[in-house]
Amino acid sequence: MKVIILGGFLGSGKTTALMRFAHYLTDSSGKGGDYKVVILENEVGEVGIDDQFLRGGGFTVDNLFAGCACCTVSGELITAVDKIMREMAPEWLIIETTGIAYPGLMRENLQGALGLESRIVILTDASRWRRLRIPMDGLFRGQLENCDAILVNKIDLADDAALADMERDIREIEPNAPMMRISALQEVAPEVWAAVAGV
Amino acid sequence: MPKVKIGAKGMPGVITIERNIHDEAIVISGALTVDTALDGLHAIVAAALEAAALAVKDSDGIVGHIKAALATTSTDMISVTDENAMVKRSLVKRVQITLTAIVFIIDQKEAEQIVRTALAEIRRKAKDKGDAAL
Repeated sequence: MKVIILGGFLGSGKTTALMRFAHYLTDSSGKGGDYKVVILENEVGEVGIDDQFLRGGGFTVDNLFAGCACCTVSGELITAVDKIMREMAPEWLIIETTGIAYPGLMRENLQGALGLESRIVILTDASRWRRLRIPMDGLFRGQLENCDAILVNKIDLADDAALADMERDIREIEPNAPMMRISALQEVAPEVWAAVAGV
Repeated sequence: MPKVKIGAKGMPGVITIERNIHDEAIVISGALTVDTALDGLHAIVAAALEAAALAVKDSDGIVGHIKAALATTSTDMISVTDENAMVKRSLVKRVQITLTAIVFIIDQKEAEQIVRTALAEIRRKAKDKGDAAL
């Protein structure tokens, strides 16, 4: 089971990108078991919203509510992933984090408890980067540092100068991860998803 | 993590508040059920969320996100009394509206009131268009 942890601040477009990415994986994966792609949705609220939307898209969705899987419900994350691995054995598991999660902590927990390797992909919001960069500095740094791929999303809502500034900021935080521009509301090139999946 | 559930009599829906998950996020979840035709309801909810976002900004807070999901159920009936089946479709749907706001740098009470106002507005406008809010 290959694990992708999809992170990024609130409103960065994680759910929209996830649906496109899941379709890409479903279409491009070889023959497998019953489950090619399973989505584990983590939402901090008492009620799930994204999971309802994703189920409506025809995906197999499990969920963790009312807490953040990097801290307050980290134990439940391990239990849920272990159960998915044993009972569904999908080719791919995509974990969509809350917008306030530190995915690096989740990767450490999955590695330590289950011996599972995972890739961290971070969505960033080009339309709000300038406004949120300073007040949310600690969170943005914590999400981007040591991630495996960065998607600069909503590029249709920012001009070239703003995008260049944003990418400079991001490079200062995370110098190594491949960084790609997308607008998740539109078609995304398969090469981008291949880079996200690390294949 | 402090967590408060509030469902006081006369208040619209049920509101749950959590805070200090990390990075001083305040998470407020609310739920409301209305029996209504869907026509116009999306616009009512969208306007309530926009007003809530504006209120957070006016208080110098930061909107992480304010999201709502509308899940609908309706009951249609098919019956036979002689030979031909008759189909009766319900025009009104039961709509479960769930709402989550995640906000930063704002007083908790103020944020809570903003969500209450949003739910109250949705309920009032659903009622105004001639349907029942539960």
